[in-house]
Amino acid sequence: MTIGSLLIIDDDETDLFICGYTIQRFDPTIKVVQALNGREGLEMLRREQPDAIILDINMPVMNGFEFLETYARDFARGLDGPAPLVVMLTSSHLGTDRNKALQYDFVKRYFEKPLTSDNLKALADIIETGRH
Amino acid sequence: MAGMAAAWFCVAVGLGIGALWLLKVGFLADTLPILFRMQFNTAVSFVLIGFAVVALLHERGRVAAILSIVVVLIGLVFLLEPILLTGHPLDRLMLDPFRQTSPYPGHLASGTALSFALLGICILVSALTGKPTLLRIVFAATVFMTAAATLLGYGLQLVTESDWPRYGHMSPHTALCFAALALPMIFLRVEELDYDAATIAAMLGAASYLLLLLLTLLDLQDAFEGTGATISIDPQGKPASQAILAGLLVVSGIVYAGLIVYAFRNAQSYRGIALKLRESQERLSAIIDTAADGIVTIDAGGQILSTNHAMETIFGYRTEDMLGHDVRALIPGFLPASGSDVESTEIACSARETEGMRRSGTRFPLDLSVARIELDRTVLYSGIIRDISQRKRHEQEILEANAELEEFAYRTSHDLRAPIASSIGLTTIMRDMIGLKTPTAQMTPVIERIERGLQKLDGLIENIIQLKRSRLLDEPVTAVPLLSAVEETIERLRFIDPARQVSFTVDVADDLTIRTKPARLRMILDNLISNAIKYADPDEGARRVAIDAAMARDGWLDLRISDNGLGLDPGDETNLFQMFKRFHPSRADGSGLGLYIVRKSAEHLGGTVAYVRLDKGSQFVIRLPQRNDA
Repeated sequence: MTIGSLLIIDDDETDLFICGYTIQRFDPTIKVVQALNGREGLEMLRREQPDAIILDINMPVMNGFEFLETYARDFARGLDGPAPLVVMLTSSHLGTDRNKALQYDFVKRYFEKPLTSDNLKALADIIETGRH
Repeated sequence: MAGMAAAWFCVAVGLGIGALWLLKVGFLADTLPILFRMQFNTAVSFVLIGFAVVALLHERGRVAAILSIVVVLIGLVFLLEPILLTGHPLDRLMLDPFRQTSPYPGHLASGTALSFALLGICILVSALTGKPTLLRIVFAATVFMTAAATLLGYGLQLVTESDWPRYGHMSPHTALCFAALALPMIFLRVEELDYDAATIAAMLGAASYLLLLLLTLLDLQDAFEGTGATISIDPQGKPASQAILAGLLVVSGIVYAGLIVYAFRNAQSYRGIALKLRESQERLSAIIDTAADGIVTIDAGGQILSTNHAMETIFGYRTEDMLGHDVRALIPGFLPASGSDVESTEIACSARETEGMRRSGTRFPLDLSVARIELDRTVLYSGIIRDISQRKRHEQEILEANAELEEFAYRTSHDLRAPIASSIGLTTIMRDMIGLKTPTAQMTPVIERIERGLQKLDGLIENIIQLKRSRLLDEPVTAVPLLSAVEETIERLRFIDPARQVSFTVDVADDLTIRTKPARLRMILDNLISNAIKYADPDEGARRVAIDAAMARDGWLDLRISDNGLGLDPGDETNLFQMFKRFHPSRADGSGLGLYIVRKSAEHLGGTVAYVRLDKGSQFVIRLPQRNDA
């Protein structure tokens, strides 16, 4: 077993469905938690401790970058154990967005939608190396 | 330099003559008696006064003052001798004359004594005040004229043995020394008093000539009346008065002819210069007055001295209303505020941006360049003013349009791609499901998702086309009956979402028409009414949308669209009319462009749009001018 649980933060219901289906087909044992925007994601993190967060950028209320800022300040340090790592999953293929996201050392990958099983394999590898 | 030379010349003459007196050179006294016409005390006084001038020029004020006081005293004693006392011992104090060379041995001639006194006072005043004074110039000029008249007299053989006014004439070398000393006393730093040196020289020449005439006249009168002494030098034995008259006539003729030629030449060149000056002035003022930039000159205190025509256009004042007023009323930042310690040289600048104030009281941005003009006696500033309000407005518009365009490109690239990415993901899932032989009933929702995604994409593209049209559409203004426009829109949109039925109330007078651009008005109505339907509250029992319109008192149309739908969370109003702002993403699929299109269209029609929070729901107020002839 490599991935225990994942938090997906995305405002698009169809994208959540695609993620859920793809993850379920990849490994049905993975526990999936969903949030519709950054703020909901942060609230979720107070209750859950996922292995990784899959984060969209363009969302209402609190977008991906705003989430990263708060996450870096409030969660990335000082919790019990290692903080969940973050991978971006977005339809934005702009270089500026990619660089801005990868500035955070806890952001490990930048995936473009839709999510594929290859993406999940890569994510599983990162989590695996992180544990050793 | 010249002053120093004159002073040393006097010292040298004084020492020379003094030495001759002391050495009692008898044969010289016999062959050149005129040398000894300068008395020993005169020679001593010249040495003193010469040193006084040297000290003055070396800025040794105290030495100059002491020496000059001694000379003044000597002069005064001899001058006042006839009045105060006779037979005082001063004439024999310094030297007993070994030879009688004048009718009054040991005595200073009255003119000599007066000249010493006046020159001494000049030096004293200069030493004390340290700057040129009118008194100094007048006294020195008197001395010069006396000396010059005497010299001229010698030249014209006018010298008589007459006892004028008493104790004889001054000798030629005495006169020469006085003339030499008087000149530096007149012209030394005279420009500090704002006198023109050339004018003073001319006046001096004229006055000397007049004095000579006066003396001659007096002499001639004496001669004719036979009361005075006879003229001594008369080689041809002609009547002396004839020789004098002839000499005077020649001198007068030369002077007169010279003056006429000079005046003629002067007038000619003056006319030429005046003509050129007028031409260049006309050329310059034509350039200045047709310049598009405002041009103003001010004095150091900020008072406006001149303006050009463009200044009237820029500021709205007439020229005569600006002249004499403080330039800071027009451009507060032209000069530093009075009392501030900004160096006056820092006022000049190549070009800086500051603010101007029009007559109407409105402030506007301008480019100001200031030049410092240093004249002989004063400093002026000239300012060139360019009204840049239009340029600034265009700059701002371009910046805003550019920022909007960037945002638009960014968001459309994302929003256009998102549904496509989703569709690709969903088709992959479909293929996977087919491979797994999933029942059709489970696949139908996936197909529906693909369909919804594509519809959303279609809606976004439709909105982008609308936006493009609202920017570029060039449609004519026509009279639009408002009621039918509203009813048409409602009919078209009533069934877009059968799940959310709403009831409409329309309160618009059926004869209300406005002159505007119909397609843009329809865009506004479409977006606002479809929003009211899309964001109706599903939990609300009686979902309502009310539309009412009326002419306001100020002649504007007020169009209100109110609903009892979801409304907005507090704080969301600020970004309401921006591009790609969405507030109910889970409730309906919007592109985030609708209200942005509404605002842009309203602004294009010369109107505004505003949001009003209701107890339950929202109200949008559109204000449009009744006539839009833009």
